Amino acid sequence: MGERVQVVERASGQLVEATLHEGLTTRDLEVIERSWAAHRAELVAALMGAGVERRLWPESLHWDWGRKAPLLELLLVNAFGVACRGGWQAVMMTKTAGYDARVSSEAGKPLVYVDFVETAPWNWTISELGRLPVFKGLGSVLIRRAVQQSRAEGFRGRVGLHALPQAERFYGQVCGMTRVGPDAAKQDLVYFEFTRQQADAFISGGGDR
Amino acid sequence: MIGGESMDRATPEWLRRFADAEAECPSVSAGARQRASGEQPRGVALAGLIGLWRRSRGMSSAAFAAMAGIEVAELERLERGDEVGGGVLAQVAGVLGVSAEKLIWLCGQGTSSEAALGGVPEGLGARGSIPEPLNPRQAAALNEIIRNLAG
Repeated sequence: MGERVQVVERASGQLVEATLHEGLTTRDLEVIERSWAAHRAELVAALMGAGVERRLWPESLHWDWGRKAPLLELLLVNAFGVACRGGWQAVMMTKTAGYDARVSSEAGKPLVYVDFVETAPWNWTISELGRLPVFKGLGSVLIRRAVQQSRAEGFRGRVGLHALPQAERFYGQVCGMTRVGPDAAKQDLVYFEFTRQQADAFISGGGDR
Repeated sequence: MIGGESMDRATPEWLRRFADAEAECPSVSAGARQRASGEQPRGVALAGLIGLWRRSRGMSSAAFAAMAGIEVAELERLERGDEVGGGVLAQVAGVLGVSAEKLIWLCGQGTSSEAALGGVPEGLGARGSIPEPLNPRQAAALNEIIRNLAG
């Protein structure tokens, strides 16, 4: 049984009941990718057809959750997914061991590391194609869940992740995470981190936006 | 959690506030720029394309290799994303019905003014002897990709 959450249907502006599932299985991720892959392929065709420069393509377009599924066999790895209207709308994979805080005030303390997070292709904003998300707020709901997981683990809301460049604005400006900086060990992706105080502010709605 | 309801469920105000701000961002994706195992091989785009094409026709690796006039081992190298010779690519282009020049560029082994052709995502293909068929949306997408690569 999942947790009841809500997301926003962009077209109507209405709140829609959704379910946030924890403990997704390898099979779940394969099912998710099977339903998303066609939309990824359709987007590739649309982007190519519109002559959109490659650097402007969605940076997770090539992802394959089916290939990430084996990670679930590792201990202390958990996968979450948001489902509504009969489809998986977003997925997140977290780790609760092996990662410590880097922000100086909390350096060395354990945190929840968001290994991967992505919304379904139909929930992407692709301005070059004039595409808007079907559902909004999925990333916020999942990051909120990561903070809750951190609290449950006794990590006081500390969460870390490496954002793809197109997502840096979301984690830095919308969520209010600390931009620690590019990480040479992770393909130079920018590492972001929630301190305890920032996580509290995010949950209460007072992030640095 | 009580009865499936989180005790600190986001309020509608919280959700609307963050949802609106999130929708202004192009992405929320976090994790890895390319494959978690390291840099994306230069030929991954072609590997994905061949996988889609084979699936669209229910064609085994051996059958595709025979049609292209290449060794199965060479096809396997292609489908792993490894680099192969230009001659092999030209033969594969003939089977796919696309421009050899554009296909070579897609593999990162040449240059092209059509930068938009790069980066067909990995993971769309199948590795089995008889690959899983494409659904109508995938088939339509493949046709569009082939059309863009043609001539």
